Amino acid sequence: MKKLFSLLLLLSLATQAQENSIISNKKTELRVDVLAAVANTKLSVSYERFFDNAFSTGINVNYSNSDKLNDDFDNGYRNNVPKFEVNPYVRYALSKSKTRYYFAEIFGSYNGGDYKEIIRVSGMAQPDYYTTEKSQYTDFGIGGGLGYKMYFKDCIALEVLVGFGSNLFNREKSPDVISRVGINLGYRF
Amino acid sequence: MKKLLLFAFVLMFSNCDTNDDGFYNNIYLDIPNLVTIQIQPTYNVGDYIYVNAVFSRILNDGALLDIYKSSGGATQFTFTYVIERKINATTWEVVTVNDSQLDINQGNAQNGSYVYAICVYDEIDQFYKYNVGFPLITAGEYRFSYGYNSSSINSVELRSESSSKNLIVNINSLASNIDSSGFYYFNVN
Repeated sequence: MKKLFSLLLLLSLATQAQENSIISNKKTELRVDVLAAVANTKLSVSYERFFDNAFSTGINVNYSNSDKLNDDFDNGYRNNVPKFEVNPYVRYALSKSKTRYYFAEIFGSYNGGDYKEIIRVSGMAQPDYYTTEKSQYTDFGIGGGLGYKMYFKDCIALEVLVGFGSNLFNREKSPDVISRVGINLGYRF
Repeated sequence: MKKLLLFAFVLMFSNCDTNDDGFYNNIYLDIPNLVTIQIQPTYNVGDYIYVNAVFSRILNDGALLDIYKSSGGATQFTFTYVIERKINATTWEVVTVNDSQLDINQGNAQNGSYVYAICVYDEIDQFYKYNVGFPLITAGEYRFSYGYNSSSINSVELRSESSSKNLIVNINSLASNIDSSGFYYFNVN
């Protein structure tokens, strides 16, 4: 019985080592965020480059033009509406396995969108009045996140990511909190 | 798999946190004495107690301000008040009448547990107008107060009925003829 267990264990380890080796030889991955597309009408694509150690790096680009966010913006429920984000990131794998593992990441975010403020128009021949004035904002933020990634058929990636950060330089206009939350499907080659 | 489900759970609740929630279409002004009670020396059963609010679209809050233009052409400003009758030494009861029993001279009003007063814009002279009498049907001790569930004691809160994407003008108007608790007391013979 002990021999059978040992044999199964060896077989399992050998299989995992073989899968790790196959995955490790593929250094590039492209992903699309399925959750963002369905829930937020946001196009979110990512590129990731893997190194030989536990590190990887990449960039994520988002573009959003959500009707709900635009309506909330027009109706005054929010004073900004994010339109684009460019998020470079660095990741560190927390598990030994290359096929199913947790990871931690830090990211930067160059982001921008529309901003609206109430202004009082004065100094004219007619009485003052209030109105809204739209403009664009951009800001840069940093943040961190945790995720879990698994591979199927040595090349199809499924990734869940939860990350938050904060804008740094233009918070009067930009959102205080930036998030990187998603369920990504990808292809590694 | 359990860990993946846990991630998805966290993700569901964290994905709501990118908004800077609030309400960004409100303007707040302080302009005194826009609403008055038409005081009579004595009241008898069958009399009315009248509330009057007639104010121009151009008001002065330190400088001349066009509230009609600021509200995107709102044709109504609303406020509320309550009339109560003393039914024993410590208890006051809200007096309710049918809308048809109100003496509506200008504007409009709806009566329930409070009077919902509607100042209607007159395009000819460009004034908002409200003049409505509340019938005093029973003899007794009465008291009058502005605002239903209002946090303000000594002022009336008027609000423009602006269409969804326009600014809402809120006017806090200091009221006269009320005591430090926010009541005007009177007797009906």
